[in-house]
Amino acid sequence: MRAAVDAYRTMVEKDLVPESAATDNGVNFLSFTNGKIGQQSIGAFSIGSLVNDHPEINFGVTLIPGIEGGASSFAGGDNIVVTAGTPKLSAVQEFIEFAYSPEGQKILAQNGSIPTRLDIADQTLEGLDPRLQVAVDAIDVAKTPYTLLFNDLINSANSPWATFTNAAIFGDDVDGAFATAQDDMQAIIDNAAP
Amino acid sequence: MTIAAVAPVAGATRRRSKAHQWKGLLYIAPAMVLVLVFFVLPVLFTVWMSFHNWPLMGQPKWIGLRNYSRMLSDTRFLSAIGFTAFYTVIVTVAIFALAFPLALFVERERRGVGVYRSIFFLPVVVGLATASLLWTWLANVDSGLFSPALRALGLTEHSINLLATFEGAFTTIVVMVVWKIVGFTMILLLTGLQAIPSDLTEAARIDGAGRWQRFRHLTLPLMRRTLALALILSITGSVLAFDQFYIMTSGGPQNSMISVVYYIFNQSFVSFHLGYGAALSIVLLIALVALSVAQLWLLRVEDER
Repeated sequence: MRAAVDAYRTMVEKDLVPESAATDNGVNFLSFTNGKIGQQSIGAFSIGSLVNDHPEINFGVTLIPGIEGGASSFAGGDNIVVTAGTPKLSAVQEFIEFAYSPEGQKILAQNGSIPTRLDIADQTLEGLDPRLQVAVDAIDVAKTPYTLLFNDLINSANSPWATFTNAAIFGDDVDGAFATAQDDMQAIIDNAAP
Repeated sequence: MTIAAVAPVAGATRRRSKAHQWKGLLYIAPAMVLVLVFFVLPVLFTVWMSFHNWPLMGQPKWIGLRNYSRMLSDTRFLSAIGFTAFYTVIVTVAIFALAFPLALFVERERRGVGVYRSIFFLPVVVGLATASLLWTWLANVDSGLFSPALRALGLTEHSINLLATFEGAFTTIVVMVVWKIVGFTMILLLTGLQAIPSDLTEAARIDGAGRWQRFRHLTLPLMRRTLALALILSITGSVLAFDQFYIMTSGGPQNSMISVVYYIFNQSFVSFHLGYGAALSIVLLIALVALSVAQLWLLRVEDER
């Protein structure tokens, strides 16, 4: 991780990153679409958005390259949640089964979602944009961080993770950024409601 | 009641005064209902919530004072207090430093004084969120005004992202807030200035008091009430600051601009610790009341001592 941070810092030092990146809070999540950006690390869901909504954009997709070769990715994030005590459990079950059926997977993929069932991915992607295949390859190498505090730790705009990435890449104190993120994350976990 | 007690007249008078009192109560009833429904009851409910572990979904659980004891060791809350205090001091000083000269300037009857008053007051009628959005654009490194202008003038080598450092972002926000608020404080101070009888000023002038002496020993003491009002409004507004940080920097860079209200918002509506957010709100309410009482006491008028 240290090496990855250093790689990003080098990119900033060499002026390869726009000045606006330091305050990018994700409002223009898919800044690719205005055609003014060369490269963006972003979730695979955007392949579908680009294919379906921006057919005019010519783009390629690859996994995030590692420092010493190889590739990395992470998977997960969107969950189907069923509230306790719902009277419609059988309908929910039926919907989930449909969503994971070959037919359901196909419909999702056609509308820009990436396939979640690897065993039938070939069948799902048949006849669709070949770039979606990269998302399937990503699942092979992807890691899935798992926590019930995902929003507090990672996703929210003021999370230790969001703060860390900014501090580590644009700040002056990389070691401090690591230490602070570690402490803040631990504090949130410790304070979590039992 | 007082009237009935001091007037030892029985019968008609007492009945009439009682009816009179009921009528009075009737008149203020709508206001009382509004205050009750939209302030008293929500505050009581917030107090009730603050004693619970209250998630957004699921069952609230009574945990007594644990939300309150947690605050004492909550470093993020403590740093939010520190930042809010810092911001309040800087903004209040900046607003008064600018509003007082402006008020003195527009107080005197001169040509076009109405135009000046309108210009200084104009930003006040813009919403704070709107103003924040406007300034976010002005401060945008690529498509805004400040950075490209500085670059075009040759003052900086390449565009500088004002909002990327604490100093740049904080300065931008303070300038925006002063621009937005100073007209309001100016109007408040202006009413105070105009309430000073001109014969007093004239008498002081005849007695040979200089401009500064008149300001220091006549204007300032006579403006105590106005100053107290302006100060309380300014400090309360600054302590409750949220919009500008949320909109302009999302609390950044690196969470350096999380105000107390921002932290309450995050705890309540991002992390869904509604009970803890409620406890924090109650503490903030108490702190604000204490701050206001302290200011009123400091600026109390002589004859009330």
